[in-house]
Amino acid sequence: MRRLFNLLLLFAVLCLAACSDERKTAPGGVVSLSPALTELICHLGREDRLVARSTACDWPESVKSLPAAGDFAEPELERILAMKPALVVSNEFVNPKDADALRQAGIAVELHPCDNFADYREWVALMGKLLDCPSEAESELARSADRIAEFEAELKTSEKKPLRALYVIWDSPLLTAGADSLPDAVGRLAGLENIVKTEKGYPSISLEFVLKEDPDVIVWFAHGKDWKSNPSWSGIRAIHEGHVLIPRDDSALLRPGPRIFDGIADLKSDLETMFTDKESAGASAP
Amino acid sequence: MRTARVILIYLAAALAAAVCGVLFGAARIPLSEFIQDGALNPIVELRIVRTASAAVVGASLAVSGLVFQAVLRNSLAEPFLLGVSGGAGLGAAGAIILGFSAWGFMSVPLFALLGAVTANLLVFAAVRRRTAEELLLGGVMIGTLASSALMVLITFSHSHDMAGVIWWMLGSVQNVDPARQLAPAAILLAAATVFLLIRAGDIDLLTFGPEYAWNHGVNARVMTVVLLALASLLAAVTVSMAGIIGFCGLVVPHIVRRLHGGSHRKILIPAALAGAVFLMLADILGRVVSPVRELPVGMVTAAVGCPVFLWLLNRSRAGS
Repeated sequence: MRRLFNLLLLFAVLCLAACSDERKTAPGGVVSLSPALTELICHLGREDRLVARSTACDWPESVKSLPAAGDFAEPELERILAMKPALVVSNEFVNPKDADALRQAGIAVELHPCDNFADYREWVALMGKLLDCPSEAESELARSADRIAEFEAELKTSEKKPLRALYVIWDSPLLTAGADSLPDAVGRLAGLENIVKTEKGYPSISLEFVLKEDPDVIVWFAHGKDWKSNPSWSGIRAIHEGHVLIPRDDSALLRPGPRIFDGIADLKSDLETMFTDKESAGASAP
Repeated sequence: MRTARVILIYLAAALAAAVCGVLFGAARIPLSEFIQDGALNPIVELRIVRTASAAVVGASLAVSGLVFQAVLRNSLAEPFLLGVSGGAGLGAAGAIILGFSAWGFMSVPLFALLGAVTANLLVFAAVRRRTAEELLLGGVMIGTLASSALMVLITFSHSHDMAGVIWWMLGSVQNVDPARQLAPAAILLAAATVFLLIRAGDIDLLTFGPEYAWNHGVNARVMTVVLLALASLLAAVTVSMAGIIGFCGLVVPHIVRRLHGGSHRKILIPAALAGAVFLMLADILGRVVSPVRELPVGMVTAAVGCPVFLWLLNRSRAGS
């Protein structure tokens, strides 16, 4: 009799876990395993709901005091289960088995891509529902739409030809941002044209291709790597001319979060400074 | 065929491959644009360095493989048997994952070289009797240990670091420093080739076994250690330059030995030139097949070397 009762109980728990995909307001703690989503939760004023973060979540500064519960691809299941959160959010890289294990424990799990502006806006709308902050989400949706529209309008009115850019994500192997990537979209709004057009995602490309395409500027996302130390790079014109731009805060540009629009504005302003200074130096030269 | 004629044929093939290496790549450059504003076109400069690197790496691996196969009397022997690939992989991955790669361009190659040489020294230190068979077993053990440690490091690495380690392990001659890597490797190759030519008779005797060599006045144990250490050093230097490039050191000596017999004085230079040709052609193929992404040369050598080796294996079985 007791065994039958236990089986029925297990069945009920599994049914509840299966229903947890239904998008409804999550009342308890939230674990965010994606830096962009952690930033979004804080931006929407729901930082108090966060109970754990991923090892990569480092903004705003205050989230660093939260316990880390794995990274975006590999959550630490035992630690998360011990925290008994109501919701775990991350991108689609989380192992499906880990996600199933969390769901079976009655934790709502939301895993969706977060790679571009459209994904970001979908996450804003979803977070508004999940964290019970629809008005904050609405205003963020309006703000993001306005900022994108501003950048687009400036591009239309600008008479300058877009600068041809190489986005260096890693130097060895040379990993770059392809046609549909976030840096590609960010750079386009800042007035850049990606030299990688046929490859998508984050491909590893050949140095000869870079020399052939001859970019005007290199946007250096390879944090902590020295672009001057590799002798193979010396033939690239942008290197000769010193047109290597290291973003003030690359995390603002590589994460589809609320800071991305300020990151684009900074990138745009740094590019203008770099090329205006060179032009004026060229004009004043005898 | 006389040795001089054979060498001339291989030399002509190597020159032809080198010319193709400079002419073909991701970009189409007319001959008129090879010189721009009085200076060499940077793309041509890049191709010259990588073609020369492919030649030196290919020749070194072939010479190393030739020595390994002769001394171990095993046609399946290859240059990385004494823990070189595992040690170099661990060194390079350690440099990438633990952040030493930020010290500068040469940090990863130096750590790889350090890893390879350390693994090699461990093998020689761990094996007491230092016969060919025991060194081989010791190499397999140390190599396995290093590979396991490498896997542990990879488990704790970030995605970019992992991409760096994997790409490095697939092998590439794209990022070779001509002054700090290519020139020393070329000098080592030249010195090793001269030494091996002088000692070619001893290598021939060792292929009949250590007792036979001993009876003919060769200190078999010392010569085995010297030859394997030299061959491993050649392999370690190539690994630090271009990552782990498989099959070249396995397949090329095998083919040359089948074509031109077992006299090492006669086949040493043809094997070196054949290795150079093999890797130069593999590099060109990797550049031309996928111009934007470029295939790692180690992947091309495996794709070409594997069917060739299986064909050789089946032929030798049919023959026996």
